[in-house]
Amino acid sequence: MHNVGEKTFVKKSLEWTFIAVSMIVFAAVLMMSSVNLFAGTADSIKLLSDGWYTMENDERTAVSLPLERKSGSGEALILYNDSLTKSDAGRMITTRGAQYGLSVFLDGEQIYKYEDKAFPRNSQMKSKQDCDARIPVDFDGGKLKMVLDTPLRGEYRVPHVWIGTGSDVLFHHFQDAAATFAVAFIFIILAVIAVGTAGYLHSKSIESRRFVDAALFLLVCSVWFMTDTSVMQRYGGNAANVCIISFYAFMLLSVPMLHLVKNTGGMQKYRTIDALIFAFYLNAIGQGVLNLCLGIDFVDMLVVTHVLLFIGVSAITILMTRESRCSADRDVRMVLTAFVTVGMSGVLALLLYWILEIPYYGNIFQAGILIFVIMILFNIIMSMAENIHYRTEMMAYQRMLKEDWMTGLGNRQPFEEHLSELQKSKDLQGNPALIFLDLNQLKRINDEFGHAAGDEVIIGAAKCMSKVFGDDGKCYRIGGDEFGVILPEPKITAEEWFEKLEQEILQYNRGSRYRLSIAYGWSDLKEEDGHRKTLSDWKYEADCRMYENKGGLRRL
Amino acid sequence: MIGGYNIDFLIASLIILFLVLFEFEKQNQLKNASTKIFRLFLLTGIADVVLDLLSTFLLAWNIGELAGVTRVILTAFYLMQILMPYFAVYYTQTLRRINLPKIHRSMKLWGIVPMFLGVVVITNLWSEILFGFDAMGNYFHGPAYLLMYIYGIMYACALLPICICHRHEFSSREIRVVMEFLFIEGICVAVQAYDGRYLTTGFGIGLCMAILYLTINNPHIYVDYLTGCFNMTYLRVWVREQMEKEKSFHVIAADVSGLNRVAKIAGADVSDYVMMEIADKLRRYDKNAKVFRIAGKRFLIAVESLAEYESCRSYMQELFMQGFDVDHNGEPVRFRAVLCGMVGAETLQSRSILLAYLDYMAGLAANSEDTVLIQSDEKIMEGFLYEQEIERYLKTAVEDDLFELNYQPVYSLKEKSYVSMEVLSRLRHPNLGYVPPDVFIVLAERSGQISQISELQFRRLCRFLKEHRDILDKLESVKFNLSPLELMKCGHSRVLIDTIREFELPYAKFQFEITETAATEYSDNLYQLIKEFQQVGIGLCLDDFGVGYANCNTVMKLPFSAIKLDRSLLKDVCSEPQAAVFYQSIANVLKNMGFQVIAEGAETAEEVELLRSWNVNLIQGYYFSKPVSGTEILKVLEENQDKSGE
Repeated sequence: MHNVGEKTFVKKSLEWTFIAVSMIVFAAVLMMSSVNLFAGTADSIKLLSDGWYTMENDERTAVSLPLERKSGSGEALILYNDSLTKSDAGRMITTRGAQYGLSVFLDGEQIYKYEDKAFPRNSQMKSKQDCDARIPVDFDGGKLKMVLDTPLRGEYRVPHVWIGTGSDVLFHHFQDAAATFAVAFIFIILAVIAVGTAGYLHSKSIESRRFVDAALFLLVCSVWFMTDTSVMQRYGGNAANVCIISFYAFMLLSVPMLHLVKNTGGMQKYRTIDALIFAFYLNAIGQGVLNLCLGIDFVDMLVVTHVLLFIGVSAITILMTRESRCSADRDVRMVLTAFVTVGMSGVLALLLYWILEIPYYGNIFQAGILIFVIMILFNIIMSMAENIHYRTEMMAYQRMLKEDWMTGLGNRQPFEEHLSELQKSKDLQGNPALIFLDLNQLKRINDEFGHAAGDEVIIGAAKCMSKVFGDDGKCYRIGGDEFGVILPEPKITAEEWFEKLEQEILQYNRGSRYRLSIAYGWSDLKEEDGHRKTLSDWKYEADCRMYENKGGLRRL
Repeated sequence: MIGGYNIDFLIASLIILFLVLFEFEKQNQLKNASTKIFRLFLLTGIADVVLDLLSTFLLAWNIGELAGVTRVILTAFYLMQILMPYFAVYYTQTLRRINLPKIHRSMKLWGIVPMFLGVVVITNLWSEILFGFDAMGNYFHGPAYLLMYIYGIMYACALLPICICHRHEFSSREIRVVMEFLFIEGICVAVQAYDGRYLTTGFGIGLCMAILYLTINNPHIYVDYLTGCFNMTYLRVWVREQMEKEKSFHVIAADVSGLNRVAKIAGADVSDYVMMEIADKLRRYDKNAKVFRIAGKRFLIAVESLAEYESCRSYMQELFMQGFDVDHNGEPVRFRAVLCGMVGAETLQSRSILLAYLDYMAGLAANSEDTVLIQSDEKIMEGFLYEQEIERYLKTAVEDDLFELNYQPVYSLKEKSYVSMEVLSRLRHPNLGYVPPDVFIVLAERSGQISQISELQFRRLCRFLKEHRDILDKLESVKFNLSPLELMKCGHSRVLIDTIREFELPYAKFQFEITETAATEYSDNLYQLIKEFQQVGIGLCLDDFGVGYANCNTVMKLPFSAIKLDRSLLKDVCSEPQAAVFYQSIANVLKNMGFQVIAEGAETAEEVELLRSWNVNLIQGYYFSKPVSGTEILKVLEENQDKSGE
């Protein structure tokens, strides 16, 4: 029975694991971001922030990066740098600025120009692209020129420029994406755990759809996170295909989540969720068709997905708020909170994306989704644990329903079951006996000395009976002052049994304030000719004999 | 000195904090709200001081490679600084004697500001609004660095209005401790503000935690000294919180007063050892179960699920069946234990009712020789509620003098008439009907109302006798029961004697009945009392002889004029020859010693015939008359007079 304690222990340790895991995740994210921010302190890759200048009217003005420059009329911004030397030959220069149509020249020779190869991107996506330019091996010192020709909102924001060997730059790119990859990795691990749990629960035949939904969501999310990084798009083979996968992942990631919501609490009744799922599928198919037939770029249709997401999150939030109002389901409340979190982070990310056009909108949404996923998973696990807890409680309750609480004996139900089982039993060794017992004068004790006295006598009687019959048979309390004893194979005669019982009662009465007296009636299952009585005959005979015995006692 | 900072204070504080944590955790794991928050508070305090120390080192060394780490550590330190005032408020709130969920709700509100600040601190990694590092890696204050101080002062000051506005919900000691806390931390912060070299803020945290541990959160106050189980104080706290949270819980109490017998034979050491063994076994059984020692020889286990209840029940049954190996010689000591279980104990509303109920249940198995298990069901609950109701009603009954008198005559076989009568109290509840005397007398004794009731009854009796003077002429004596509790009261005899005098009745016609228990617990006071009765001529009668442990020794010591043989002795005289011999012998011995012997509880003609054959002359029982009211007794005595006159 110790596993019961273990279950609550598991439930408690789950809580702690949750806290610990989220703490570790947060610490890891914090650490990684701090490492990212100060990676410049390492030697391998250096900031090329000094030595930059612009030429205006043949006048040289020194500038340092990062730089913000207004450009009202839309003229190009040209930056020069003379600090490169022979030792920089073969190294890589990396920066970001694809959204400004960046091109890099070395001594008048173009060594980099941003181009949308096969897959058109919008400016936010471009701003996340790494622009790497290789300095030729035969470089012998010279002038570096960066040309930015398309200002956004009338200004240029030139980020840092780094310089280092090819492998260092590659490492730098991966480091940039480390946080995203870490999150994606966590998602995949969580998905594996979710699938495992689903399988385990399925083998135990417990409802587990939500684990599968969550796992799917996690996988799609991690695919989206990874394909959305610059590293993946640059080094992941066919950039266009990676981008298309990224777009599809983004378009479809809400579908498993909507299924999960549908499987939560009493949410099945809302048809809106089905409509939303349909809308997301339609959106994905529609965009594909439009792209293939009409050649409309995915980036231009991105707004549709955003609007759909916005509608979806708000609709679910409204539905769940309504549902949580009318049912106090903890599940619904928890998932609602999770949705509000992800919704808020989504809205924040969208605002940043459309209004401020900042590149790290994705990270905010990622963080939101991470919290969301942890909340959802935690909730599912908690409700599972509760479910299991409820089951064991119900089973314990069922068992207890068969007991008489006051005396600890069985009650009427198991008594009847035992009787009919014996009566029907195929191979009977002995001749089972049924004894009905009834307490005499219980009412008088109750009236004269109070309820407590009556209960005391009942408990005493039960104790006497189990002492006498407990080893060979089973005692039941089948009514207020009625008891039944079943002896499957009585080894001594009825008279001998009753002699024992009388001795026990005598013993009890010596120490008791109230006089215990019991009337009893015995009946064998088999007649003398070996043929069995019917159940009702069996009971009737025992009952009659008990009343005979009681009548004999009524001499007071 | 590290980088111009004196870190000795921080190290001292850390040592204090770790000692407090060590001692606190070594004790029993308490689960109440105040303790939980205290643990969190303590851990946050430790984290705060550790991070303070670390960041001081890192800032002083100023190593370029560790710049990122410094930043993160400092951020974590700031986060702890946010948590500390919040926990101070939370902790103070949990001390209030109000509904816990209410506190938790209000603390969510209080959490908004720290949450916001937390976001500020984390985003500070990029925004450098609170602090930052220049290109040289030197630390500098950001534009909003005062935010933290404002917040700290705000939350610390919030403690004052909380304590003042809700002062009735705190004990004065708790308010004093909170004030001390504020005062010490305030001084420490002030010292550091005055001279930044002394890092006394962290030291203040250490001191404050030590104060809280010593005054409020010392687990010792919740732990029973002998057994290491939780004590009654913790039971009160725990039950209250459980009920407030509306959480269901189930209890099993183990009454091991059977151990007293072991103690009598083997000595108190052995019984103490067994107590510790029991406590140990119960505690080790399930980490989730809470084991309390709720009385000298009574334990209580509280669990929160039915399944746990079920397994705990069988475990305890087995434990007490097995017995305890005291001498390690393989022969366990067994004794009687009463296990009382209750499922859904939260329905009882308070700890005191729960304890009273367990007491009631244990009483149901008072006579059992072996270990028994009794679990609450509707019928037991009904009986308990009945007693509770009677207990309440007793107060009204005493105030309004609602007790009635009943009289049961004593028949003399020789004189063929009633020669005496016993006065019995009777109480009628408006809804529950007549209350058996056994019930309400025990309750009145427990609540200390018995002597008050007795005085009222005695006055009533005297009034009745004065109104019907002829009764006294017909009878030799009137017997009135005195409870052992009354006998212990000084000056009670005077009250009774004065009452008789007030009504101008003859002392000699009165006989006070005292029970065996009272007679055995014979004391100087009792002797004094009896002497006073004797002086005025009031007789003394020993009641219920044969029930308890009375022996002839007691009987001879006190000047009884009559002895009543208890009805339990008479129970089996007809069916059991041994019982009959026993009865006859006792009656003979007592008679030979010169006592008047009265047989109680004769119900059948058979019994009366036997008594006659044993020369027991005086008989009281249903066979002759049950206890009857005042008017009826007049009639009974009248008829009897006529009969004997014939």
